Amino acid sequence: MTRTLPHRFHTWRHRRPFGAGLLTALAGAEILLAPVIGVGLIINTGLAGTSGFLLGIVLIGLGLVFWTAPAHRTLTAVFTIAIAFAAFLTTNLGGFLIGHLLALAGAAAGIAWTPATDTEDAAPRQV
Amino acid sequence: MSCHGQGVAPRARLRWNRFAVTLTASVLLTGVLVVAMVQGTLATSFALSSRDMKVSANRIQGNGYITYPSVVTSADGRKHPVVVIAVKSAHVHGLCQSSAIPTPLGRYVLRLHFPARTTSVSVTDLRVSATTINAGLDFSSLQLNRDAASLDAVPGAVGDPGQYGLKALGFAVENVKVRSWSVVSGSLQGQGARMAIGRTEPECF
Repeated sequence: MTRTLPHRFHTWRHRRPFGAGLLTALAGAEILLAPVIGVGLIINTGLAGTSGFLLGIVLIGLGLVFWTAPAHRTLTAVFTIAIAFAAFLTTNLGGFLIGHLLALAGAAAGIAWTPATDTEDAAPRQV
Repeated sequence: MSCHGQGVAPRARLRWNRFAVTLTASVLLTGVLVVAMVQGTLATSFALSSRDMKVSANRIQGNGYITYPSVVTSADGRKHPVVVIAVKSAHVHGLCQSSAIPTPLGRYVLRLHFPARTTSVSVTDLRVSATTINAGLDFSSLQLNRDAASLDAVPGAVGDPGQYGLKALGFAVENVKVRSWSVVSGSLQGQGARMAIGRTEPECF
């Protein structure tokens, strides 16, 4: 099974909801960093520091769960949506909407992802 | 939906209709929340920083003004007694808002400023949680010491029963200087805003 690195990455990527995890992790990073990059806008939103930090970390974690546990993608997506709304309500509108929408897109991609039928971790094909 | 998979072996793919349904539903919910926030039924919950800020204006005139005491909690858990000023709609000339921010690189001042010579700024549903207020006042239809819970000049803003309340239908204030913990506005429209952050940036007062 010696294959080229790009090919192995390609295989790895297609066995899991890669885009869903990436979007969700990006959302977490954006919410984490929003107070740093958008310092001009967060003037009276200091709390966002605490809950933005926690929720950002959780979203990055959920992104990793999308990658490591593709079988649980629907549950992960539900959690991602819940955290996205928690972030929206408590932290600068979820990183000024950007992180919030990224997380929602990630969750939607997680729900929409369907594994290939020829891989061993494939779910039974639904019609 | 069944296969329109490309090639012989069906590959992992996104079911775009599922993607669209999920995303549409959640974005619609977001839209509902945004509308609720804009209409003021859902308070934009931001916790306050541990620093107060300074707000000043050359002149504010508008309709619907109430004031009542309250308590706010800042991010460090401390409670601060404040005077809540709620305004239904107003025109503000020379609005300025500044906050000093200690950073690892020193003390920076962030200042948002509408120069007085530019057109006025229109605000609606303004809430200010102030600690000290200096201003020249001109109220009309004034009611002092009205029960704070019965204040009705500004939709959605009332104090606790038994507390002091002040209500005015029309007002104009000049040379306003407010130290405040939070400023929340349903809408704020103005042109010529200048926002700057810097170590040499002056505070509003």
